[in-house]
Amino acid sequence: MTPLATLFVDPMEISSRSLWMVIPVCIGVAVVYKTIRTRSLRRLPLEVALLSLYILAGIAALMTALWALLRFTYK
Amino acid sequence: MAKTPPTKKTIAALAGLLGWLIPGAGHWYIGRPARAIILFVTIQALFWSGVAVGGVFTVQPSLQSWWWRALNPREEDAWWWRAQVCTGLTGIIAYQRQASWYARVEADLPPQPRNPISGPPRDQAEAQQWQQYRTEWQRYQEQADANLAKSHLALTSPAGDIAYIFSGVAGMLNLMCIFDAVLLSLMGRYGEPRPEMPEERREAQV
Repeated sequence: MTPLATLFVDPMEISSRSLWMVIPVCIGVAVVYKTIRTRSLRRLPLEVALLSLYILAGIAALMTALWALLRFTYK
Repeated sequence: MAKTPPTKKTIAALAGLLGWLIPGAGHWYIGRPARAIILFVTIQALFWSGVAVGGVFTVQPSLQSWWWRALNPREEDAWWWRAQVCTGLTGIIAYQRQASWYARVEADLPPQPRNPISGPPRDQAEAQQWQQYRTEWQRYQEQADANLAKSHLALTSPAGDIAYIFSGVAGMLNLMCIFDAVLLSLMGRYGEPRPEMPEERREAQV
């Protein structure tokens, strides 16, 4: 089958850098949440961008904290 | 000028049902078409991205029937399946796709073992029959797993994890949209909220 035909059939080969795939999930969550909550749709892109950054920053902070915890406590 | 938001009577259950069947349809029903389109596109993009990463078996292949898996909490990864089905027709279509592909995997297998007794075993003979059935079923499952591995369609980490997260999160987001549509319908709200006027903003600050 051609690569396009197998797109939704065969699993993809994902490299070890798959952590970057958290970005589309965060953006998707921000879009849906702000779409149902925002008062004006004109402000939606700005609010989505801000919320996405907040979520990603929060995840990065959590990852840093967990890394530090493992690095300095686990022997 | 009136400060109350626009109202119109809508049926909350219908808003919820439409919102489950087609992501965003609940919001369309309560008069918010622009938001409905955004929700539909985003949830579909998330879900099908997950299926693209994980393949056709992203939506939980299983030898058990769908109602068994819905009701049996100990079924492996059942919660991911329940999350995926929250996308409504999308999840059901994806499930049917995997069922048809799984049928090809099962084609090489012997007939499924049948449970010889109904209900719990009542005596020693029935207990032995039940034990034999369980052994045959386990052997059948192992052979099905081997066939699945040979087909190169089986989910493996990390693609499987990413696929579950994308499709499961899409389902959970649709659940949030359903709640929103139902609540707005129960409150009698219809259409887009009125934009905040400068006078209202000044009054709110006082």
